Amino acid sequence: MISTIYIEREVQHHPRTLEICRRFSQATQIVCDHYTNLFNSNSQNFRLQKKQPALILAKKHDGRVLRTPEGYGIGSENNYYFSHMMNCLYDCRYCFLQGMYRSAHYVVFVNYEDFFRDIGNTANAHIKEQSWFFSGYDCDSLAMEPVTGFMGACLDYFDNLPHANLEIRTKSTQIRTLLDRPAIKNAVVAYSFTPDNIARRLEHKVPSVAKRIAALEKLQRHGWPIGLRLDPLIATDSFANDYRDLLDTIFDRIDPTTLHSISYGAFRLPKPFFKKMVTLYPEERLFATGLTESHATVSYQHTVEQDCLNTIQRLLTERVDESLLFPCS
Amino acid sequence: MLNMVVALQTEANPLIAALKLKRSTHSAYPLFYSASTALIISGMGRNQASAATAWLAATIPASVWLNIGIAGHQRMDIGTALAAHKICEYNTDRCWYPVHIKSPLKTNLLTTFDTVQTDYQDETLHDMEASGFYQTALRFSTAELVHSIKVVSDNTHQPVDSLARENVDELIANNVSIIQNFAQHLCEIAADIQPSVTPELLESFINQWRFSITQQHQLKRLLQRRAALGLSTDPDILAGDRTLTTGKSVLRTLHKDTDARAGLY
Repeated sequence: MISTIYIEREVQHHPRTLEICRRFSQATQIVCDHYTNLFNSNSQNFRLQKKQPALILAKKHDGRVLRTPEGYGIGSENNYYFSHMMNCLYDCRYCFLQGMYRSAHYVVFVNYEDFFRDIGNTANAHIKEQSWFFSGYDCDSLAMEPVTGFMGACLDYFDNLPHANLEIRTKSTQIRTLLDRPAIKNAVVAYSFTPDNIARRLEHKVPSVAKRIAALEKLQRHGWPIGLRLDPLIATDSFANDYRDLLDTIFDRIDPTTLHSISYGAFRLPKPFFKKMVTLYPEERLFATGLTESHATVSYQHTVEQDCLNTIQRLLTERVDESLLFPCS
Repeated sequence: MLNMVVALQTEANPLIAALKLKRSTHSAYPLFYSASTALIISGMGRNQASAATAWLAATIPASVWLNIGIAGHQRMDIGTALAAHKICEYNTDRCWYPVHIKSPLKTNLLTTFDTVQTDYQDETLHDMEASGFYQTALRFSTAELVHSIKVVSDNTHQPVDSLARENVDELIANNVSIIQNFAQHLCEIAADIQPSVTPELLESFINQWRFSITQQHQLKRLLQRRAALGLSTDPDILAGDRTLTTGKSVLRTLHKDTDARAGLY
């Protein structure tokens, strides 16, 4: 439950601000000049804030649509991401957001139309090619949907932008927005998974693997193109068995013939993010296991990483066509 | 450890009594303390508050910091205790945002002025110390654990010039249990970020081998890793190895052993 809402002065009277504030009528409202005054300030503890994050309502002035890092994508050359929100309702211990942000407060940018205009302009710059827009990079795409209504509006926009494709990456079961409307061909709902025994230990506050699969099944039946995201892969002694069980459970429930894509990548983090995450959670076993630093990245030792990637590729190609697979680095 | 910064002796008296604090002799400021709490009397004004906070931080490190005192408000009832959710410094226009914690204590905007205010501005508490305290205390702790609690002492109906010294004592005394509960809650939150490697454990290595500052950091992380993996962190595990004569060799041996036993998640 949100008990504090910080509101940028500039969006104090924005209709979405008013609507969201109505929803949390008991919350203390605090006006600020700019969200970065709080969000980027020094002397904050992400771990402590994560216990009861506040909501910040703000305006995103620039950098609304950005190129994805190299190695992130599902086949297209033109890959972009956008984040109408910063930070996530969930608390996955492997998540890079903990290392990237100083604050665990949820920032929602209420100027959705500016995002859509920038997406349209970017897509139109590649009018003869397909371009991909990834949502869910700095937040979960759907977890806050009942509050923000962003994805509903976003889908309305993409419905009229056939040369652009949308990936809605999520672990959320808040799928009413998607079930209450016809599916569109150029939007893929992509669910992230780790095996159940790992999810229970590392993915705090996240719907269970079983609930996510049930949501995925409903969405597929409703006609939505669906994707699987196995990123990060977590190396364990029982890696092959764990992931085999996970895939068996998923493919028992979904139809592989209409699956859009599967991407996967081993656990890896930029070095400064990893360092900060260790400071926040020094007792976390995941960060104490056999990781290695190379260049600017902390990742598994090469042999372990290759083993994971080869194993997952083998397990996947037993079930789906290789053309659906996209390794991420 | 909880550190409290209070401007006036009259504001401090009820806290000193309730928390059973002893007076420290030979201290630059009036200082009262127990095993878990220290209270300093800073004097009035943001500069005084800032200086006293810095001195206290250097003398008694603490993770939880509270500024307690009285404040004016246009309409709020006399005796109401409030935590600041935004602290603004009137003279500089700078603002800080203490991170709100779950508490029955209501919160309010607080503005720090350089002079006593009789012209009450709407919606804000008026004080003279909080901004100085807050920005300094933040250098030594984190925004979740640094707060300012004010008890309304004057308003338009009972302006500040009608305030008697004995009333101040009473205003704070009536809210001591609220303040104590708030402080207790902050201390519980702070316990979540206590280091998994204690200074005593580090000492037990440093007393036996010589480590540079960088090596001490490396040692701390290695011990954290071992604790996370369920491996022993006792320096006795190295006892008997006569080749370990330097900090460097200890780190190398511990590294090797930890990596060999780390395994996968």
